[in-house]
Amino acid sequence: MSMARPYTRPVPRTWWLRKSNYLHYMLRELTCVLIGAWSGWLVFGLVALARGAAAWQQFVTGLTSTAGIVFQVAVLVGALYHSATWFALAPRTMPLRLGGRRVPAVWITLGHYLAAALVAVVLLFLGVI
Amino acid sequence: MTERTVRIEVLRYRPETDERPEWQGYDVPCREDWVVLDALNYIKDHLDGTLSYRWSCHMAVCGSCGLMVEGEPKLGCKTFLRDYGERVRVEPLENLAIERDLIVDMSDFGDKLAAVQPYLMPRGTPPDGETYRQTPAQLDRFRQYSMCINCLLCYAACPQVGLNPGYIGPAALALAHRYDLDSRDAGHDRRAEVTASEQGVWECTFVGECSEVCPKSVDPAGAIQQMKLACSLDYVLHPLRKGEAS
Repeated sequence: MSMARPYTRPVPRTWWLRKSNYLHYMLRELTCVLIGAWSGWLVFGLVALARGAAAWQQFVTGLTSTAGIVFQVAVLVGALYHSATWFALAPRTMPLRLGGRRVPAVWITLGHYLAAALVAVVLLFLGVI
Repeated sequence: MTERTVRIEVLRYRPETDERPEWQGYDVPCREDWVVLDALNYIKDHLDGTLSYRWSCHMAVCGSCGLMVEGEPKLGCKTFLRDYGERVRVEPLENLAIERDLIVDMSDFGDKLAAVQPYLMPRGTPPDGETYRQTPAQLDRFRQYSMCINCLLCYAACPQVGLNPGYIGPAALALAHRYDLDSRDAGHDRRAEVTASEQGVWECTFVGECSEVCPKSVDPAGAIQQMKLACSLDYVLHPLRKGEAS
């Protein structure tokens, strides 16, 4: 007679608190909420712009209020954390080769930082103009 | 050689008598060069012959002695006790059903491994007298992913495996990637029926811990992300290829 009676241990709801790597992963995923909220806020701004000067002024007032500034700083910190973690992971998703050799991981990560810096400079330049 | 006594606490489960797993402690006189597996062998030989666990090669090749040591997935044969304190907790691998004591049920993994068809499916046979040829650069594309020893540490480290038992999982997907990258293989589309399915690569949320615990540096997390990219390209390019075929 078979004695097989496998026991399956349940996964606790707090599994993500058990290891620092799991916690960092959850934080990385959580930053998406902030970035999503920011995207929604931008859409709201576009709607305000379309509705006229009064609505736009109200939106700008919201942006420069204490709550608005706290929100934007939180979004900035979240976006930076999100970007840094993904740039660090990028070499594993795109193992580039040049001349038959693997491009070192650090080059790929640095390439992402350079591209981000370039985009930021271009956007700032466009904003100034 | 110096000796010290280490309290080895083992999560035991005897299906014929136990309702659930329970801890049992053993005081083991350990030498400085002992690994966890040596302590388990000492317990089996001198203290309690009923303790069950898997092992074979004792040199990180067979992949049999995967365990949780102090909550981390490890190979028992390459985890030195000198790196731990006077009490070491040893459990069966997480996210897998316990068969008995430290032995987990691997049948589900075996089914998943078979499902991804991890073997060469060449376009045709080479002409008489010829062999399959592969350059070192072609070999280098997949070699890393062929180093897996099926120890299942990656399954124990992956929260998605625990939360979704249907998920094909890191090792099987990495092995599928190994064959997809092989210049001699033409089985990508057949494997994609499983690897690109709802239980395939899209269940992975890139926690990345599978690669952290891999004792052979296979990097299943990297393999799965690359497969996601390949799946997405397939999805976009498939209608164009269909157009070419007609």
